[in-house]
Amino acid sequence: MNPKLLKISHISKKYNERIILKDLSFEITPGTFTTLLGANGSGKSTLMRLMAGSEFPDTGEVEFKGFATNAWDSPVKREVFYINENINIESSLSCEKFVQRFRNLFPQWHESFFQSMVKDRRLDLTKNYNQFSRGQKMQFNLMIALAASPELLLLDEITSVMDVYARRYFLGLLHRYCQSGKTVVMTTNIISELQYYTTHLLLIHNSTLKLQGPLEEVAGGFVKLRFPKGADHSLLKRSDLLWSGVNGDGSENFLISQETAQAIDIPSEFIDRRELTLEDIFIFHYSDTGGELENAA
Amino acid sequence: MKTLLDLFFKPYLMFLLKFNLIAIGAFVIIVVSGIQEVITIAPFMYFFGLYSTSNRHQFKDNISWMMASFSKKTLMGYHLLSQTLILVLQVSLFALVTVGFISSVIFLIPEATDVLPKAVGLLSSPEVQDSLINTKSSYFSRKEAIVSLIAFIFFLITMYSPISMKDYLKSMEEKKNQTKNTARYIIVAGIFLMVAIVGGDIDLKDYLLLILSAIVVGEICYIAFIYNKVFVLFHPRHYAKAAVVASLFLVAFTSLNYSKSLNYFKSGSSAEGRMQELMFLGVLAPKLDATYFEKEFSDLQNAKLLVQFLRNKRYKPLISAELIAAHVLKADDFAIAVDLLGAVGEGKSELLASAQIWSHMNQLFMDLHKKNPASAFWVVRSFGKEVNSANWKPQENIELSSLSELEQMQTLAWYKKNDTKKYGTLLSQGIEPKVEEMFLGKSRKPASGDL
Repeated sequence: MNPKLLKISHISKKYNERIILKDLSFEITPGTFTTLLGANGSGKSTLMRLMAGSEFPDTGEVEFKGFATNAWDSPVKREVFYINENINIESSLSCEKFVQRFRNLFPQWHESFFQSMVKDRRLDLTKNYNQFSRGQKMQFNLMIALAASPELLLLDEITSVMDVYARRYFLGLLHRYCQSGKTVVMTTNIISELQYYTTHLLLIHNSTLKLQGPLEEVAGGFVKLRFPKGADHSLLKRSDLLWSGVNGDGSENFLISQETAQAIDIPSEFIDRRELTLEDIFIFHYSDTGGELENAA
Repeated sequence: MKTLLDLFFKPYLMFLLKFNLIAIGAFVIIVVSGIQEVITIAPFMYFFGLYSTSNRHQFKDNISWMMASFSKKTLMGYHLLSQTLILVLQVSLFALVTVGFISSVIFLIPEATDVLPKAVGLLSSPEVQDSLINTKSSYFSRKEAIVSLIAFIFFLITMYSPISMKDYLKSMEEKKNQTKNTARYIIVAGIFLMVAIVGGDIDLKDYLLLILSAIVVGEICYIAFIYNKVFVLFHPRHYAKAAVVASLFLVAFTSLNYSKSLNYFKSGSSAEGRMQELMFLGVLAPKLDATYFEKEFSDLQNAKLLVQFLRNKRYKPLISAELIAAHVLKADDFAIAVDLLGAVGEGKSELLASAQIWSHMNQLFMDLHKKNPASAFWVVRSFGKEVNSANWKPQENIELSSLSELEQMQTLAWYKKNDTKKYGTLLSQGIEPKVEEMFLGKSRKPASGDL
């Protein structure tokens, strides 16, 4: 197994003098489910396109299995599949006929897997792609992407158009896909849905990579606190306390850095022992973006 | 490559087949209908439709996701191959179907051949062609060749669309709308280039209606496919493509009219008709031998057309004062004769030195005065302006009574302006009643005001 499936070296990208990404470097290893986090407009989709090779960096290199993605010719191109929320498969053929031809493009095509997905999701392949709803189109995209069995599957904001059943179904499949040794990199604004599938995390902030690595490693660095509804404690007056959400019982969660937590005396009843969520991580690391998050509290 | 052909090219072929079956059906209906205008324009509409089918080759629409899984080499290779195949297919089909259509028309409705073959340059009579010395090589030796070349380059650009390929295959430096703008800029630049090439010579009036019609047709097509997708051949998202298609339609439409006019000109049965087409062709008209032109021009009867030629800077040098004099002498209307005189320019004084011209003009004036004195009054004013602009002078020591009415008026006007003493003397000699009425009439201002 190649320890460096995808290698990103010092890539930068700007559009019309506006810097989108600045000197990013990281690696993606096989068999991982990497979630790419970032605020709206932070450059997640640009980074995904650069990784996919459908766009090229201004400086730096993107290599997949040792081959530059912008090379004239590459023997490993068919091992990557990229889907984003705007992708439309344009064909006058019915989906059935389209797949009959499309599958020949991918040597690793897994027909029985494809058929089982079609059966599970009850998708009518006699229709033309453009007759599907947006959610169905995305499901079809995912079906052909998974059946093509690429080594690297890049998914940019694909879940927002699917219903909850479809989302759970495909996230489950993606989880198993990674367990079989394949690799998924995914972005989403509904972070909570990826909580149990993510093995690695990338977080873009201010055009740079603020966080990268296995989830258990990057999750540290802060402590999660939980105050009962209507609680009045001097800790709540601290300006470095970040509000992170309300629980079902009306209690509220706050985040504070590990360093500060060690320096001050925090009563043990306020320490939230539950697992840190991706949303917590996102909120904590975006805390310097301004008063938006604090104001929300 | 084979699989990509299977995935994208085969469906296009099927669509092309359907399109052609429908087109052939339409051609049959057109032949049966026998409407000459429809017969003439049908091959061009077919060309337009045939070209539009290119949008049904949906490879480019899928490139955004294919870029991740396919190398540049594969994508570019397929693109070039498929576009070449499409180009060859479209050209072959156009040739085949159009020739079939024309042949059917020739054999089934020979009376329509008066229109149709002229549109494709088939039936120019050898006599007419022979008489058009120097015209055989003119078409491809002049600016038209460059215009045709540009039109062809535009066609290739849209077929191979390096703009969109650059968008996907290079570094995508530009945002998507900027790329669309680039396409628009190229179209506009091309149009300007064409205008610049023919500019200076072209008479926009000749083409204005044509251009406006094409723009209107283009806009209607665009609105139609944007709002209700009536034209399934197009994709509503591709505005840039629509602009290119509209431009090509404009070129095709212009070519149609050009071709028609050229062939009417070559095979027209009357000098009137031929010269009218020649005028319509404007700068794109073939070069003419001076002798041939003189012959045609001298045969013209239509006064308005004569004046148009006299005012056209391309033909004006070919028209001698003798030719104009001949037409003035042939004119049977005073107003037309004055118009002709007005269009002469520098040779005007030469004409006004001819006694024959004065005599004929006077005759026409008298005729008009008899029929419509008010009209004669106004026309004679125009005549006076022309005479003045030619710096005409009356002969010295002239007896007023020896002059015709028209000459009397001009002589009096000249002296009134330049020698009032002599003017008084001439008045005392007595003048013709008509001149008195026109020139010194009590009920209206003297016509000499502008004379």
